[in-house]
Amino acid sequence: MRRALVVAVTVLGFVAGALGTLAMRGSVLPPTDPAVPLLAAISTGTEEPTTFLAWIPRGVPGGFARDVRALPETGRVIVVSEEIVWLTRSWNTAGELVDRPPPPFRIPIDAAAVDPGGFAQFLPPPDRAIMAAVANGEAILGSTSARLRGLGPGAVLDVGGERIRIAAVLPDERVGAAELMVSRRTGRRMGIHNDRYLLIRTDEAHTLTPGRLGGLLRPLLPATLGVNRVIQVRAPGDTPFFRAGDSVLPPVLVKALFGEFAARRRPGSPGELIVEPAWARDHLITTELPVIGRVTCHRGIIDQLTTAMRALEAEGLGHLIRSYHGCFVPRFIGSDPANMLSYHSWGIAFDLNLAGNVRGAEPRQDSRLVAALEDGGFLWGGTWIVPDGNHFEYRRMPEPSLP
Amino acid sequence: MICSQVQALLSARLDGEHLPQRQVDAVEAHATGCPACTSFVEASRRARVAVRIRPAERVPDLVAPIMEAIELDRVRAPMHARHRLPSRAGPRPPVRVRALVAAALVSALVGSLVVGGPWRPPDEGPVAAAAIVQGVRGAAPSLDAFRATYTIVERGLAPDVPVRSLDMDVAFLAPQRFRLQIRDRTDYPTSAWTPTDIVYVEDMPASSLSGPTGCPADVAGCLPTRDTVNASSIYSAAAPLPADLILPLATFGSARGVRVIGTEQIDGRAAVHVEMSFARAAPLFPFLRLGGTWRPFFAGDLVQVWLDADGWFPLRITVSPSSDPERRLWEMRFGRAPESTDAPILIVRAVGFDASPPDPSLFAIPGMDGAQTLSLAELVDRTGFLPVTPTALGELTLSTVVVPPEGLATPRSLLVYTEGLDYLRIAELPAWSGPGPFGPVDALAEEVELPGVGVGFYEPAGEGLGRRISINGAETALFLETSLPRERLVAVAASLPIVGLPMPRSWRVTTSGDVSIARVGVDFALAAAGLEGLPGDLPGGYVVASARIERTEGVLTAVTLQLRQREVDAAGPPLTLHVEPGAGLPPPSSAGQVLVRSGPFDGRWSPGSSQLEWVQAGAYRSLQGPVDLPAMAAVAVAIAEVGSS
Repeated sequence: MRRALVVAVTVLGFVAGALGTLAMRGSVLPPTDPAVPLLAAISTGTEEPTTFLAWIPRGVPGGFARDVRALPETGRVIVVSEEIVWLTRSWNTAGELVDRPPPPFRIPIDAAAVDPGGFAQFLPPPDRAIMAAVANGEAILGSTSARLRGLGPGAVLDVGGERIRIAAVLPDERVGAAELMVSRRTGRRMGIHNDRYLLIRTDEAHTLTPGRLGGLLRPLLPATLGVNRVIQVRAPGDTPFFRAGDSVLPPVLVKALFGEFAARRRPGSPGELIVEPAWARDHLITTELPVIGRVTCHRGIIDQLTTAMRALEAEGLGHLIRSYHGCFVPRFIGSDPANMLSYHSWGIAFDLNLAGNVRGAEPRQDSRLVAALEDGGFLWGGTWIVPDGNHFEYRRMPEPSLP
Repeated sequence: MICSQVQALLSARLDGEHLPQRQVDAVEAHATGCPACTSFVEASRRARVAVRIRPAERVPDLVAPIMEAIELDRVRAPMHARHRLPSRAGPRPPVRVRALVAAALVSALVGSLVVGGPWRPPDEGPVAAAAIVQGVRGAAPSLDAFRATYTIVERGLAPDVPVRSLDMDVAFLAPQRFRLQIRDRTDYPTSAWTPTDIVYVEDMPASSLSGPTGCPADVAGCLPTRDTVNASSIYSAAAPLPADLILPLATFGSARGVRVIGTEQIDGRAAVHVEMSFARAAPLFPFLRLGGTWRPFFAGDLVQVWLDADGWFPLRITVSPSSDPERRLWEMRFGRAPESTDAPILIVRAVGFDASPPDPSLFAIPGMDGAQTLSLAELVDRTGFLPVTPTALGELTLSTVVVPPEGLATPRSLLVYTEGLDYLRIAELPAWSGPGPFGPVDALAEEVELPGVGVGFYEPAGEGLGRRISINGAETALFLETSLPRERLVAVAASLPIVGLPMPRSWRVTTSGDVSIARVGVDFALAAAGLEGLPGDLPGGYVVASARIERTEGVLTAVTLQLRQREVDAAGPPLTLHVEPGAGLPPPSSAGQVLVRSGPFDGRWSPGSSQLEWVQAGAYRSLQGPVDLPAMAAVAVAIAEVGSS
């Protein structure tokens, strides 16, 4: 009986399916998309830039932002502070513990602090409301940071000694590729003190170029800055991220490429770090390379560093490397905890021929050496606005030769 | 160097690319004395657009990428069609009736196929896609065990690893036990590569993972590492990870974005061939999220799936590259040759399957030993309260009772109900005092009426979670998450002995200085935005799920509407429509943008942030979300039509 019922239902279903299909063929209209006429009739144009980034190596000097605001050509000007803060725990929106580095190790986080009201004016209108939550002590995660952490709005972080709730996730380009963004008030409690860069909007009556704005800003820099008395000005399209040191990969992308470590400050030497041994064991390698000799670097760069050294050797240029000064050296830039993390901390940067190539001096590296390493995917510090001629760091995988 | 080479390098430099010093020297030496290249730089600077696919040989042409997007949209037109079959409502019929219903559905589909299928001509595809959705859904409750072996071939991981071969075993045993194991068969060129050997076991809600952490799938050019994790957790809020390889319930939670190609024979079995975007098919690739090293895939990549016409499990899955601008940027950034859109870069093929129950010991999680499972009586002893339980469960039965480890916002009790592959989880936390709805439910989630209960806050499936409802009671808070359809979830939630309260003011209103942002009713917000006549079902399946208004010094200054897809977030997170008074566009906030002028639009498209802004009738409008320009424009046109009427 039951089998008969199943057969009957199957047959009826078959007939209904066939008839229904035939009926639908007559009634289903081809879908139309109202967007097509719009797009077909579209015309395009471009806009002059009205927003600029300005940064000074090792930070914005006191009073500089005030002087920039006083220029008739500038409109709104805000200062962005940025610092490494330390993450001890995090929870996702379901309350699950996500990050729990083994004490005393903590995870370094690139955190920015802004005046919420001022920064809102540099966001598109739909995102401005988020800054009210930031003003109330909540935070924003950059999109890569959120993806790395597996966290989103509603997550909670124990970071910089504060328990912070995440109000929103914004694209990296909206937060200067910072991992975390908080208000200046919250930032002060977390230890974010150093002003790194300015966001400048031009006055409505003025049209500026990066070159012209740079010319206006440079005289405002105090002479006491010495070798750092230089300024980099960028407009949208000049650089992927509005942040200080925009010519190098931001830390969050370095983490995405090479992994994230937990670390602690070296006792008695706060500018240096001790990286969690498990991370160091899994990510670093000590090996013998042609020309350069014994190195300890991130495993991820060994193949391309070897290739670059072999290329130098094959061209008889090995002698251009007179001295090698280390690769994996976990520390802040300049061993100063007021700076950001050095990429030596990941073992993806190395220093060559220090004599004659100290930071701030005219670099004296042989252009053939620089060319071989750049072809190998490494960035040379000699092109920076304050040249660091002995420094090379990972930038990209090697490119095929251009025509 | 000739001008075209120099201008290509200048273009790359303007894109923020770092050029080797010798190229900088050569370019500057040439450009200094070349009027053509000097004017090129000036023109390019003025252009400042982000739609730069590769080093250009002339000033970037914005028409081509947009027309490409139009062409892409035409190809995808069936995916955007708006036909939808009515969903089932009410309590589920008894098992025997359901078996008959399933038989009727399957035979109806076969009958449909015999007469050529409703997907001929192709524009009629969505009707058949809806039938597949019904078929997959109908099969879930009766599936108690499954085993399958797949081979995976991946192409293009790295220049020195052009092809990889992996084996994958997938097993399921009711209630809610899953195992996914990957064995990497690749011969790597050096020992620096770590094989992607992974074992993942889930015994809901506990899970364990062993394997290399490797690289996130979406970080292009990530380098292999030897980092290995052995992690297990007694409690996870995530939906079962490998479930879609057994029955693609999450992928086919909705017919939207699915294009039916036809029926074919795959390895001697009748199969239904469908295609969709990679973003849409994400649940079919759980192994990409488990660690190890994988090549990058992009949201627009084309996924073709052959579903077994009998059991609805995937027999074969292929991924072919799209010409997505993001892919081109990735190729350029890492010096990769352009990938052909014709050759698949991932092929997953079933080579064996079995419906007999796998050995339960396969699902053992180290250190758990079933210790997390309690009886309800034991739960009361442990927590001091009797959890709230629903009555409209149909055939769902209580299979697991858990006390999750204490943590921020973790429930005090978790009940897991199952029926075959279907599951329903009810988490409870008495005296919830958090800043928003309990559980992974956004403060802007859609407010739904639960007859007899009050209100709940609903989120569609997405981001690794099933459909969800959070209920805020006076004494306790509940969070429900399920693979069941929305109507079924609402029916279960409505049978709970609890009063669901509206959102308290502290969740709805944020105040900072003289600015306040408040969640308000959708109708009120639509009226405030001048959009009273907005269709209930927008292109792409979007509906207005929630709204908030912004007041400055008490004056209404902006309205923000959240647009979501009702059943499943096929396109990812929601779209946001923002309206505020304004006669012009605000200063650009992205690195690049394109001004668009057409019909009612006088606006700007920012591809980097997927934002379309325009000014209409004295109001600034912004539509933003992770969809492409054609999909965005379809919604924008519907909004603009209301605005202009």
